[in-house]
Formats: sequence, structure tokens, C-alpha cells
Amino acid sequence: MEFEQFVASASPGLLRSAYLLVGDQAVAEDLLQSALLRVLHRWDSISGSPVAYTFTALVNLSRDRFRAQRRRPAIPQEGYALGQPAGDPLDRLLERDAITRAARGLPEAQRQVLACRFLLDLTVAETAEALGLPEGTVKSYTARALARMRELLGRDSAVERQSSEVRSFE
Amino acid sequence: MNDQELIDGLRRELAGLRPPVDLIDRLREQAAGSPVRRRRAPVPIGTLVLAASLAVAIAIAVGAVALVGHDRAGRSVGSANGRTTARFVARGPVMGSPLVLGADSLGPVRFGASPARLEHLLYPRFHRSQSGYQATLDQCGVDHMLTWPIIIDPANGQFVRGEELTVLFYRMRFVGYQYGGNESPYPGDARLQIRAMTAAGLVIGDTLATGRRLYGRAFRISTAQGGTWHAGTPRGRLRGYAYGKPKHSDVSPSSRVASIDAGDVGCPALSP
Repeated sequence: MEFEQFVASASPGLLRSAYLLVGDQAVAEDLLQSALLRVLHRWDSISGSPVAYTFTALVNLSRDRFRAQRRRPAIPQEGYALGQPAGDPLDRLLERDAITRAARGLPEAQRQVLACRFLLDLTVAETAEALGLPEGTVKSYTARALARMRELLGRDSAVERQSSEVRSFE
Repeated sequence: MNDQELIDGLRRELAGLRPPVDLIDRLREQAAGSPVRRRRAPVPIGTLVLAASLAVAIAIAVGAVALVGHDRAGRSVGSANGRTTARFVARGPVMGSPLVLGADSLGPVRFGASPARLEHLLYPRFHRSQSGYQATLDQCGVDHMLTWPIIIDPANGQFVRGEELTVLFYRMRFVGYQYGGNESPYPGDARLQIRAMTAAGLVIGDTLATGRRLYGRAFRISTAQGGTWHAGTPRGRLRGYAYGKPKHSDVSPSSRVASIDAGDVGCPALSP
């Protein structure tokens, strides 16, 4: 497969995975671009799945970024972020991105497994190789991640129910 | 909610995230700054042995010729010196990418270009305009236009009326464009003649919620003129009509982008 074809077919899934890792679209795009550039330079020597290779690069870059950020004071981000208070109809609609929010609430390792398995459609073996984990750990992280997301979603909907009951009482 | 529903939900929610349309171009530009080093393909041992034998045979033959010619200078025969020479190569062919609808440009053509330059630059992609350089009413900063139909209805193989790329001029200068229409019957399986999207990835038919996801709070909607949207970008403003369901004027987050415009596109009845 040519590199251009690979980018065309894999970049949407990789961008969504990057978003799951960092929670900011602009940062996710930057990370994806940097990761793809690394892959481009090593394209002829990649022996396994290029998707898994790129994802590993994404994870490493997101960690570098996280470390670099810790050394700098935080700058407030402009623009939209999931979970902001609802203002107009678009915000209200986007508030329904509850599953993504729940996924963002998971520990990093579980998010990585979710991204590999369900956004990049990697097998358990490929995920294990990409993340340097035993296959059993990949399976248990997947199960735990899904269970935790369900728990978070249940809690959110309970809070929503409560607040709507309060509103109707008022 | 079972596991599969959770996974499907996550995929659905993230489906609106798309990489920038010019990602390949950006990578190519960056790669040009740092040359790509291509690893040499491994050579089979058999081939190496054959090449070595051949080199020895040639060396002996050349030596013999030299001796016969009484050439005592003893020329060394050119064999590889063993050093690896880094080989820098340019990347492969350009991938066909969609036309980028910019806030101050259309693909490679910036506002201010002459009609001839615009047609020249866009010719490889669009060929000649069907309308030709056509006069419009000289008002609201527009006096001429060029148009190309963009959507074919698969039911009858005809172009969908009103769905076109219109490039507008004022005093022989490119001042704006409108891509799409304001009604947008836009059948889901219609064939797009001209694939185009904004740099952030917004395309005709996207929901306004996708627009918000792509542009953040810079993306706004309005019920003006039966439903419109606009997005502020560093290079200017993109805007267009929105198409609601069940009624055209029902603007909501699930309404769809019917057109993408930038620059001067005529008087307010035409320009959202």
C-alpha cells in the first residue's frame, strides 16, 4: 500500500483515536500530523500493521505533549470543549455526546485500548503489540473500560433525571 | 445499554471528526523540509555471490587487457567501496484531493485573481465553465460569474438544477464563490461532479452539529433567510444556507449544510 492511500484510509480513525487520548480536536490534528510524518520517514521499514505503528507514535507524542505541558503554566483554551454549559441548540445537541465524555473519563491505558479495538479496528493481538501489553491485559482493560463507561453513563443520566425532576417541581 | 451499543454510540459520536482535507499536502510540505530516506531493498545472497563472481571475472579480464597493453599504471576496477550512500527521494504522485473552499480562496486561487487566471488554474479540475464568463446585474459588488454544475441526480443522470459552483467577479476580479444551492434536494446517493470541502472538512450535507464540532464556537446558525450558518476563520468568514427538515426553515442542529460560500456573492437575498 502506498503511504498516500494509507493516510486516506486510516487517518479518520487515527484522528478520532487521538481525540480520545487528548480531548481536543486541534491538538489531536497536530498529533496526527506529527505521527504521520514519523511514519512517512520510516514507511519502507514498517513490517507490521502501519495503523498500529502510527497509533504507537500518537501515544508517544501525546505523552511528550503531556510532559511538556506540565512544565508550562496552563493557558485557557478558546473554543468549544465537550461538556461546556449549554447555550444554543447546537450546544444542547452536542451535550448528547455522553458516550465520548464517558470514554474521556477512563484511565489513559483503557482509552488507548478502546481506541485500538473500536476506532482503529485492531485485533486483540495487534492492540497488544501496539501498546506493549499482554493479550490478556488488553481483554481485561476492554471489559473494564466498557463496564466503567456504562457506570459513568448511568450516573450522568441519574443526575439528569434528578435535575429535570427539580425543574418540574419548581 | 449493552457493549455493542456503547461501541456503536462512541463511533457515531466521533464520526464527525475528520482530518483536514489538505493533510497529505501538509505532510508532503513538511517532508520536503526534512528529506525522506528510503531504505535499500535487501539483496538476496545468491545475487550477491553472482555479482561478486562477475566483478572478479571483469577485474581479471581488465587486468589481462592491461597487461597485454603493457599498461603498468594498474587501474583499479570500479567496485563498490562499501560505503552506504543515503538516497533521498521525493514522495510519490499527488493524490486526488478535494477542492478546498477557503474563506479568501477557491483551491489554489485567491480572491483578486482575474477570470483568465482563475479558469487557467482550475481548468485541470473543472475544464471549461458551462456558462462562460456571464454578466450578472451589476449590484452588491458582483458583475460577472462563471458556473459549473456540481451534482448529478442518479435517477435521471441529469444535473440537479440550482446546485452548482458559482464563481463571482467584480471589475474582472475574483471576489467570491457559492458552492451548492439554497434548496438542496441533495439526494444522498447523488454523484458530486466537483468534490469540495472547507479546510476544516465541512462538506455539503453535513449537519450543523458537525459544523460546530469542526469550528467550535466560531460556527453559528441563524434563521435569517430561511436558515443560514457562518463560521469565522483566521482568513475570513465562510457561510451558507442550511436546509432543515421537515421544513426548509426548521433550522436546528440536525439541519444540513446546503451551500458553502465566501466573499461577495451578491445582494442579501442571495448571500446569507
